[in-house]
Amino acid sequence: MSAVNATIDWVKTRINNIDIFDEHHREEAKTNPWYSLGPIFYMVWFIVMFTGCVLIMWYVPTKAQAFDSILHIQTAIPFGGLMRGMHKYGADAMIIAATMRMYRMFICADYKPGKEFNIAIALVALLLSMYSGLTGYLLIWNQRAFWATKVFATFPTYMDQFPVMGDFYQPLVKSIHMGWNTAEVLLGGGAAITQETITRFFSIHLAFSLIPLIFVELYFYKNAYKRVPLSWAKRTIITLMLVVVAIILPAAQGKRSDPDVTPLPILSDWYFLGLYQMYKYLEPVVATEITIVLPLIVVGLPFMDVWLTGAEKDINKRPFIFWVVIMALVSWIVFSLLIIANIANIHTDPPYWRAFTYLTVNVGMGLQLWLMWQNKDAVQRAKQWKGALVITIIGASQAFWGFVYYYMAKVEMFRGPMFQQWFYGVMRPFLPDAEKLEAAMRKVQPTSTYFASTYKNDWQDWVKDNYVAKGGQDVQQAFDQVLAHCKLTSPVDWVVSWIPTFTPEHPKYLGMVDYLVTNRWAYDYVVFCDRMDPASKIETTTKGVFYPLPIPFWDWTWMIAGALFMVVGAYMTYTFKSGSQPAAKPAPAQPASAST
Amino acid sequence: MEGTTRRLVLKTLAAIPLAATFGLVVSPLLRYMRPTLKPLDVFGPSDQPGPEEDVSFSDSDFPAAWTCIDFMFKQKYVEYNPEGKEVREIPGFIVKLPSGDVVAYSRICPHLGCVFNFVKDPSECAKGYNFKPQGPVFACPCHLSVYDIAQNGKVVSGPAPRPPRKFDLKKEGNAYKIVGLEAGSIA
Repeated sequence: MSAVNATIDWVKTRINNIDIFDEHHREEAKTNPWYSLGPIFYMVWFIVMFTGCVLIMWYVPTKAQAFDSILHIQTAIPFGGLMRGMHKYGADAMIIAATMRMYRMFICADYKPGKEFNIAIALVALLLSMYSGLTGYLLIWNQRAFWATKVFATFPTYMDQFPVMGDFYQPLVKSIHMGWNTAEVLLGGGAAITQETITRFFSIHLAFSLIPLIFVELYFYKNAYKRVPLSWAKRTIITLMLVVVAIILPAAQGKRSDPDVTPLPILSDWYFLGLYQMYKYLEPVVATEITIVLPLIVVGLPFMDVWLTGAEKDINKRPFIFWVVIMALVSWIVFSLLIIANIANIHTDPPYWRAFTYLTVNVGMGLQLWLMWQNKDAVQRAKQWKGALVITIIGASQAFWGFVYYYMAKVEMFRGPMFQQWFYGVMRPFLPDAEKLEAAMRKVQPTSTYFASTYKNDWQDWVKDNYVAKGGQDVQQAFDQVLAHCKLTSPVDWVVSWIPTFTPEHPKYLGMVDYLVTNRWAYDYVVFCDRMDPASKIETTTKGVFYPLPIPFWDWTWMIAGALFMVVGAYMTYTFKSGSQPAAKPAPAQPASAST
Repeated sequence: MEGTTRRLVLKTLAAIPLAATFGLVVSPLLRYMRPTLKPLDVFGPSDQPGPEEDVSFSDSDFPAAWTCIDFMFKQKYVEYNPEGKEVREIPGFIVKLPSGDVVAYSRICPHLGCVFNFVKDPSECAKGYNFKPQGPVFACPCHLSVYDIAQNGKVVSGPAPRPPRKFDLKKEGNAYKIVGLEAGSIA
């Protein structure tokens, strides 16, 4: 049970080391102004709460009056414009401070030693301010707010297409409609942004500030920390900065929202622009996944860094983290600029972005390995096998993804169908007369008409309506052959015997063949084979271009780099690990007097 | 430390049924979040929406090919409010194709739910939406998805996963009646 105790100790240490607004970095703050970002965030939070309390007296959270009440605050209330400006720019300042603080924490390794949770806390602070911003700017009820909210509230519906929890493997897992429910909770039920949405967002906007404030205040009170350890001069400068910006650049009002017209171009608020551009580049399911996975990666990075470099805090000796930081910063800034200028070409850019993302991180991985190799100290060298293993694993995932991507790019089939055809391919040797079945399926639905995006888990029903009904005698014959084939047994039938179908009239699969045909896995394999074969001449959505498609040059770079890192990393792990016996201690130098 | 661990295990075992009990007590509160559900049916399917009233057009509304008219279709959702329903307006386009067929599409973009436009001029589409089509298209300003109307609403550019939803169209003599909307998700 000592493992349990060790785990509890490990967690307790990290909880004791919690640092919310840099209250443990007062010494560093004297020489390094970046350590004032936490207190600045906390102070601006108070300003935003105060101005918010003023605005709430005049603001009317209804569809009909929201926009006019803002107009009223701007024009008729004394200092109304100033209050609103300070509220808006204060919120922006919080997001800027929280973002810069994140970068500082990574560069200065503020999560070492034993303080890895602090990254998660800083991230929660950043995300809460971003979501407060998002819920806040719907309240203005202008065009930009309306359409950005529409996009934000709709993207969770793609969670329903995730593997495991979504609809995608309906034969295996019944969907809980997580995405649809999230969207309904956000919007108040239904497709439109309505009064329910504005009420909910108003409530969330307050809750995201008030509830964390209570906890933060309790924490500061309990531990008797100084709240905002800034001199009055600094506090005044920050407040004045907000006042001056709010006067020079009054907060924009925009055009009243119109649910019937999406203006072109339409952008979100500045901190979501990068994500907005990403949503143009990527398959929506992948974009949704990345939106969810990004924060998890940020929370995981400090742990990875500890495995790689131990207690080292010098950024020059942590090139992996340095280059990840560079990659994140450049992607975010360039994506934001691309969408502002509206110059991105969504058809030709993605290979460059994939290559940039992978290769920048790879530079860091390479430098990190080189540093490890340079280490001459035998004991330290032996300890590095863990870090080399981490890099091997990253390289291996990159190589694996490159391997999958190679086929995806060749045949333009997405991960789901790709997995399904692979599974069928593995099962194929166990199935009776697979060639016959495939030939019959080709006859029923020509592989050139395959459309993968809408998943079908009732292939027979679907082709019956779309192909068999319109086809001739031989199509009917082929279809009957497929149905007859579904009744055949195979040695692996027991695998599917326990899978429920969730359709009352067809409660159980007849066998493995029936399962693979019904869920379209067999047909995915047929399409995959035909598209990989240049002789079958299947046209892509672009006229005159045929499968299989060539791989763009820049994609080759990262695909090969991944494999390279896997091999080099594995070799170095082995070298470090096998040299882990400390070298025989040199005989202690004899005192000069002893020899004589 | 050994004694503490045993206690911890027992405490955890005792806590699981307690947590489950409180979870069950709290779960009906999820009901507050989803007004379209029947009471005490938290994980059940929502009621499906239906048409509130039909929209109709006549043949003379479409003098030439590529005449495109925008309209609002009233859709009725069952809600457990005093009226027993809520009516939502779904924006739509009804277009006459060069083949003489008339088709009607929901204007809600299947990507992320913005309302898309009818762009008649291919060069205008090339300027604003990063893609030069063969003819008139639907194009969405949010993430620049472009749908070819002549090819059944096929996605020809941009990230959209599928064509926009179609309205059910009934032809009665000279009149076109829009009687329903293809079922599906929010966007």
